[in-house]
Amino acid sequence: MHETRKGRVLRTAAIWALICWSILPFAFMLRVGFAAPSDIRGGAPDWLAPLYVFNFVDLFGDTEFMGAIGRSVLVAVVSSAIAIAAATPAAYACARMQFKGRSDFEFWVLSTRMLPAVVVVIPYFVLFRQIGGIDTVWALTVMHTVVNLAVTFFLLRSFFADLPAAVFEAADLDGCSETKKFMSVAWPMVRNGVAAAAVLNFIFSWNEFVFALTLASGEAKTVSVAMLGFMQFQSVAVGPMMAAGTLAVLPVAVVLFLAQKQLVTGMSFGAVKG
Amino acid sequence: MSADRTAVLSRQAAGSPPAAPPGTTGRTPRPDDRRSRRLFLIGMLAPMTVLLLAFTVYPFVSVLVNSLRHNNLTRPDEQGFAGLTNFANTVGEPGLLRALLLTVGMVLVAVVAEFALGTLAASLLWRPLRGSRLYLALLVLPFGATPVAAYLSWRLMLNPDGGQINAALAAVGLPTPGWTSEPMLAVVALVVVDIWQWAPFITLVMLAGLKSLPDETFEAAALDGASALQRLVRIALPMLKPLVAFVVTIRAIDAVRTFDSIWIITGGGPGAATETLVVRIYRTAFNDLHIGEASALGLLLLVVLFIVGKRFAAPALQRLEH
Repeated sequence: MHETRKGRVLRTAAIWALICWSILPFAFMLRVGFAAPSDIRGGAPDWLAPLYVFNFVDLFGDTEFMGAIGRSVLVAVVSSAIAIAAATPAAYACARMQFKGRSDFEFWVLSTRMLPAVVVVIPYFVLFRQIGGIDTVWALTVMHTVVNLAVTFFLLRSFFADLPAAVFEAADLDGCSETKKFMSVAWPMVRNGVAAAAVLNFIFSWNEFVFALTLASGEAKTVSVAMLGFMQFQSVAVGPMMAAGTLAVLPVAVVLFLAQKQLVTGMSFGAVKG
Repeated sequence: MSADRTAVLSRQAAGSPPAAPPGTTGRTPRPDDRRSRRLFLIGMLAPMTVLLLAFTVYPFVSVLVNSLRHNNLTRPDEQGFAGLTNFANTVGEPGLLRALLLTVGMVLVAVVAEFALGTLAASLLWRPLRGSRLYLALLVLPFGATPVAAYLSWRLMLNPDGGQINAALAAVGLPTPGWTSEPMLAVVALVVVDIWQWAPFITLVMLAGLKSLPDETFEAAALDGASALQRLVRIALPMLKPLVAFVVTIRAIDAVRTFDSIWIITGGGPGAATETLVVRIYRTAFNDLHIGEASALGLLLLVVLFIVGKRFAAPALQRLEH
């Protein structure tokens, strides 16, 4: 199946066109973020204007936005840790043990990914309103933990399922207990998978919007909601808003570069190895 | 742990074979083994099960209860059993049918376009090519990198008054439509943003599928004179049928739940032009504070999504695994 020179040039051109389309909003974000207010007219930047860094300088001095970043990190780290602690044993059990109702259990986990956050958040809004959880970091952390469970479970299950059967047979011959097989045999072999799950959970929590908007949009607001704060002043705050967007995207973009395969595996419930 | 080990050792000494994993080799597990295995299993599944019960059963029950009660946070004095009033109120409103049709229409167009574009892009990357690794790395950005920031960027670009898109159109003398201010165009704009965001996901999934197919089949087809498009549509896609069914189902279910992009780019407007079901539920609950009616509508949506998931997503996932 030899590709002609012309075919290869066309294919390359088509791929580059797609690349431009995919990164367009990010390129726009960077350009506006680095543009002086006088170089932005009606929301469109002068693409040839010199770079202007003071949107970022101002942002680093903006305690409200920096506080939101700090809370985002806190919520993401804690919710990720709890989700992994809860999902890892279940993922192992479903990947390496036979039991009745396993596929029903897995579908149940999968179905939690299908619930619209907009519907799930209603009862939690009512509940947290009664027990004083509205606009607190802990309420959001709890919600992000459960939101992350399904992806963590399916990602780790695929890692556990990929382990060679021979290792477990050898462990059985050595008389290892179930607990020991999990703790001393399987667990050390999936550490990379757990790291990948931690990274993905961090990203999902960092990106999450519906629960953050509904349950924590005041004092406890996180990055995604804090970005909306720049909208009130319309064109005046366009530069700062896109600078904030850049700061919100940057850590995720860097990490995604390393964890793109795991992201696809997790989001396809382990069906695709990426 | 050491007790387990001694038990096994003494059994070995007594001449019985070592413990085999249940279901693998011939030996029937002793009742003792079975009980400790069951305890182990319960211990492994319990933490996640408890958390997920809190996430699924509690909201479900609570939405059910709320949907049957008068619960309007602006009128706290009116409480109590409401029967099916909430359902009657939501279903009776003309806006609901609109929202339903809009949701179905947007999901259909978006998912079909995403599948077509995503698969075409995957086929471009199927054979090795310089630059494709860079593209693969960039592909995850639209659906992975802080969507709220990307939506804000789109919102600015789509702004009818001097946004980037209209500024570019004006520069070459083309008309500058009201992307977010005209009802029809606002819907189109949101579908385009959804395609921008999710076609890359389809590309990555389909590319993984295409790469798993044996090269020889396609070399033979090429020798027989099958064009690249024929090889993709006639040979590769039928071979990947379970994957196609799976990815289309989960994408469709996800598309029904789309909220962030609509809320940030148009807020459901102009008027109610882009008010899909989830946006309507959100507005009913958190703008009007009609928790009862929002719960009634939410419950209906939950049931529909659950049935669709059980009917299509679960079998597709199972077929994929075997």
